[in-house]
Amino acid sequence: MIEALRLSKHFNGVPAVDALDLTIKPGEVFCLLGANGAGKTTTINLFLNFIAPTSGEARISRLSVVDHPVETKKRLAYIPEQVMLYRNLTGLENLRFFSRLAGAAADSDQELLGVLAQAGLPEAHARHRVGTYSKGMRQKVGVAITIAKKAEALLLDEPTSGLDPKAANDFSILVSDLARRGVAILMATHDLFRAKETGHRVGIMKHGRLVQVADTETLSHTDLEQIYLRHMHD
Amino acid sequence: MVGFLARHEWKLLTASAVMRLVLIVFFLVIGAATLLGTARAARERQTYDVFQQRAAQQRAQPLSLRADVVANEKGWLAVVPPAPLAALAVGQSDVYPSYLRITARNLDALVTGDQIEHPLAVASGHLDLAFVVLFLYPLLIFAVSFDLTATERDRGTLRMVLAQPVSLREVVAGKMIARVVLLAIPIAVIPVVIGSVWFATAEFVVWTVAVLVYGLIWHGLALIVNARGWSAPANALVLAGVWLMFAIVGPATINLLIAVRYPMPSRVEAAVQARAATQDATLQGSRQLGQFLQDHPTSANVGRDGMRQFALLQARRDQQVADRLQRVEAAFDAQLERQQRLAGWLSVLSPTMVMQDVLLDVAGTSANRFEHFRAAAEAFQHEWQQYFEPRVLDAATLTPGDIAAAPVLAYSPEPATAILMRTALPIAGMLIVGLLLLLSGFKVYERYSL
Amino acid sequence: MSGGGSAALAIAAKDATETWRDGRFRWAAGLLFVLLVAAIAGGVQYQRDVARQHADAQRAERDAWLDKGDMNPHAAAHYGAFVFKPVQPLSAIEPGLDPFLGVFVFLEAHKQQLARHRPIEDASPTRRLGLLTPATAALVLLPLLVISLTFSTFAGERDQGTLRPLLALGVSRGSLLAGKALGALLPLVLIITPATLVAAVLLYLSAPADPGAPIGARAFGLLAVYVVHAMIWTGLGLAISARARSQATALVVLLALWFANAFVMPPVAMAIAKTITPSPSAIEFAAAIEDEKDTWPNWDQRVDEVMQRFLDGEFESTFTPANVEVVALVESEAAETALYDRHFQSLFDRYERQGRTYEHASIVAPTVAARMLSMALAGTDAAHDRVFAAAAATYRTQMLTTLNSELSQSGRLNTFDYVRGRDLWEQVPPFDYDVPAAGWALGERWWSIAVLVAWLAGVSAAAAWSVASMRLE
Repeated sequence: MIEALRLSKHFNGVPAVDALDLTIKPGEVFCLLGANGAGKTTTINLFLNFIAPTSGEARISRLSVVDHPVETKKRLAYIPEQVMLYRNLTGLENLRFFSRLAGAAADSDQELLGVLAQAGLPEAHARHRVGTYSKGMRQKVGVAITIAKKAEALLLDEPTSGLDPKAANDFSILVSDLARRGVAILMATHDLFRAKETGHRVGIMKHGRLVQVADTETLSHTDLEQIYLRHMHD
Repeated sequence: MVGFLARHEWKLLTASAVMRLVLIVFFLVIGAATLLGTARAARERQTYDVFQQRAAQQRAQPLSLRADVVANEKGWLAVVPPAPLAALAVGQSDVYPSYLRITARNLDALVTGDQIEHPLAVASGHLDLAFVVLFLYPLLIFAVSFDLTATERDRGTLRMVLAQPVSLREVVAGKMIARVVLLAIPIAVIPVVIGSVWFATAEFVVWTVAVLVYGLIWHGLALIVNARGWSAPANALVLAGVWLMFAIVGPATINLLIAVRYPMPSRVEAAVQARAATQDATLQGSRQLGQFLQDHPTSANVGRDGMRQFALLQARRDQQVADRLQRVEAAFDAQLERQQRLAGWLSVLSPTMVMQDVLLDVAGTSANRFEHFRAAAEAFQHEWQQYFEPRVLDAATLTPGDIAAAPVLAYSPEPATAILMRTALPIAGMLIVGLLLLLSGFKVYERYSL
Repeated sequence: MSGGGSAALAIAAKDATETWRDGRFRWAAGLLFVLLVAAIAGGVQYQRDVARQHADAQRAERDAWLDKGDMNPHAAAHYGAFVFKPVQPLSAIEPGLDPFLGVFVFLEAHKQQLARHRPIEDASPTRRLGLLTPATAALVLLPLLVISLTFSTFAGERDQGTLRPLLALGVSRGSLLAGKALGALLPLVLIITPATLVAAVLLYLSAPADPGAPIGARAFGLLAVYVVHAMIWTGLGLAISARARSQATALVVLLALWFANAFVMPPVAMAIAKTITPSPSAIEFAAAIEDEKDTWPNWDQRVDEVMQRFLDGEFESTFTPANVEVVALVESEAAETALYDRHFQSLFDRYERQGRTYEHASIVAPTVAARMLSMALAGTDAAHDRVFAAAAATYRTQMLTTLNSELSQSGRLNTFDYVRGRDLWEQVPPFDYDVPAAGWALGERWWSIAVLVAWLAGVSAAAAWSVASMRLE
């Protein structure tokens, strides 16, 4: 479960996130839409405890991220826009490192390769150095970390930017899969198409405020686009 | 968790091409310095042994038994035994004399046997392990530490890591531990491997402790600079500047301050003064001696009384000259002592200066060692003079019994405990500074922006 | 080509402006400038004091020599004379080996001594850590600034991704290189020029009264050496920046090269020189002399031997037994002089060979070659010292010949009660020494000049090749 309770962050008096109220239940995919600088990345940083909120609370699985940094990070997974891994290590070695950091028990190579396979990265690739990976492949390692950690919540920042359509589609499938396993997912994105495809709900963020929230089931792609553009105009 | 992070960091470091280059350079330079030092120390030890033997032999079979020859010309050759860790630091051993010819005549007593070297050699310095520790070790610490978290933060890897249940403090601690160990191993182990004899000595343990403590200071400085959050190249420049300040410009400025505050009296003026001062005494004495030789063209005419008179004249002349020279020298010595006292105070501003004093003291090639030797030599010179003076004035011929009963200089250097007591305080001081810097670094990292 | 030229100028202007605006550079440059000026002022002041002391002492010495009264000429020879090393004006910039060589030489009848009282003996151990002289600032600190200006010229643009677009504009690689080089040199000029002016003014104001010390050509040569050295490091920085994997790699490599040049090569070169041509330690040297002296006849034997020669009729009719001891004394002293001369000559030959090996080693370290030239031009290197030592030795021989010539004549003059006075002392001229010409100094160091020229050509070629084969991403 991902919760924001009147979460606010001000930089020099300017609100980057303004009294955000949000609840994402396990198994739900929430897509956060908005222009650059609307506050999407700041929101994610608040959940990650990379910055401290000015007021309000961010919670993961009902625990405040500020009061329980270690506990919440155990349950939380994060795939940033640029999945930066250690270039000189292989995908397998990276997964082993991050899952150990996450507190997962030391898994054998076979188990880790299995997780990578679940994330869509075959063994042949997993044994190459990450420096040779495409963005899609790196993302799959990020997903593998999520799975290995048995995370309850997942934060995604612009996951499909820079991916070709097939890779983007593969990624959507993985996200839906994770949601079906009960992970609460917050996805910040520009990609209206994927938001409708993958998300259960979308929220439009403007100047740090959530100005509209809607169920994707009730919207068509065109509807969504119109709503989005209308908010962008004001 | 910190242990795991440290091991991970170690893997990353040893896999990076730049780091391998840095380590290879480090290994090569330490190896070269240690080899050069070992060879030099072996030569010194060999020279010492040869001259001890030679001196013993000459005493056993003197070429002349005349008291004045034995007492005044041959005298006693005192040689400083090689220092225990002489291979690690040249120190002052190429400037201070390591042998003194002690005679009964004040004038020639303790004529300093200058070390002779090509001036370029002295000007170039020596590549000894002390040099590597003082200058290269900090530079390499900075070279492997200028990008603790900067690039990882800029690229985003750090965010990936901190999204896991680890704190930034643990991550940084792991990185620091990996680097401290990575660089401490070559500098502590290679000398032991190449010169395996030292490992058991107390001095080498102190040396190693001092080196590690010194390293902590630079690691601490690197940590603070990294914690400020600049980019990696910016860190590199700042750290290069810090190194330059503390290791080079700082000491140079301090030396300048000392020279300005307590300038050494002009050696040139002193030489001229000494010359004028001795001229009277020498001239008068020489006239008397000349008169004496005039009165006694050949030694055959000189009776016992005659030789006695000659010796008395010579001794008086030498005494007067020595007294006047003493006053000139005293002025230099006093100023030098003031300089060294001020240096002692100011040197706390530069860890390199403090460390140099410690290293040289522990290695046994500092001024302290030569001062100790000189003091012992001076005391012995009085003994020697007292024993031989009556015999010289009597123009005696020595019997084997006389020679066997002559004073013997049994010099033993300062015990290790005295040195360790002296260096305990500066080492403890450096340790405290290093720990404070490290703590401050972690404190500043708490405000690190991702 | 004009298009390429203007592109190069545009790049140079942009880079120089960027650098100048960079606070870090201004700090570093400002600091270096302050250090340079402080070092120059300190050097000039010190050198002026010492030069005056030397000149005064030499005059006082001459007076003492003439006024020493009547004495036996042989006693006068033992009275001896001090000659003082003249202090070069440019030693304010480059003290060179002066702190490590003797301040004066004492010329005596039959002993030779190494020049005594080297200033370094008065120095505390920390002083050995390094004297900050203008030469050190120019040869050791300035390259650091050059490195900071050049390590990111290409590597930085590549890391940021602006390199490819730059070349896509149609700028040729040659123009790029020229522009970058110029852009790095311009800020350097901004520091070197005022520092040079300050140095020139100070040196001019403190010029010694002695007109026979030409420093114009030497000073210009010094500046040229420092500029060429800075250019070598600029080329090196550019070449490595173009080929390095990242800015950080370029910086580390350049710093390693700088450290090796400034701190590692000099002692290593000396160690090599001493391995190829070992020289004796002080105690070995003294022992060798002593051993030889021990084989000589003692005083009584000598006297007997001369007496025997007298009885054999070797000497002239005016010779009497009273002269025997004088002759014995003079001959024994002559033998001792020859002994010392032989040993010292052998020692100095070894030093000479060591110095040559040291200089040859500079082929891998341009900073060492630059240092050798710097010392040669300032007149503070070993070659100049040898010339002075030779002049002192010649003067000594001259002095002793004048004094002893009378004693070598036979007759009643040959006794210890024979005294002379001022008229004989005046026959010994005052010590006059001319510093050799700059051309000679440079000629001695032709190898170092060749090394610098070769390095300049080499890094220029390397930079051109690096840029030509440079990766763009």
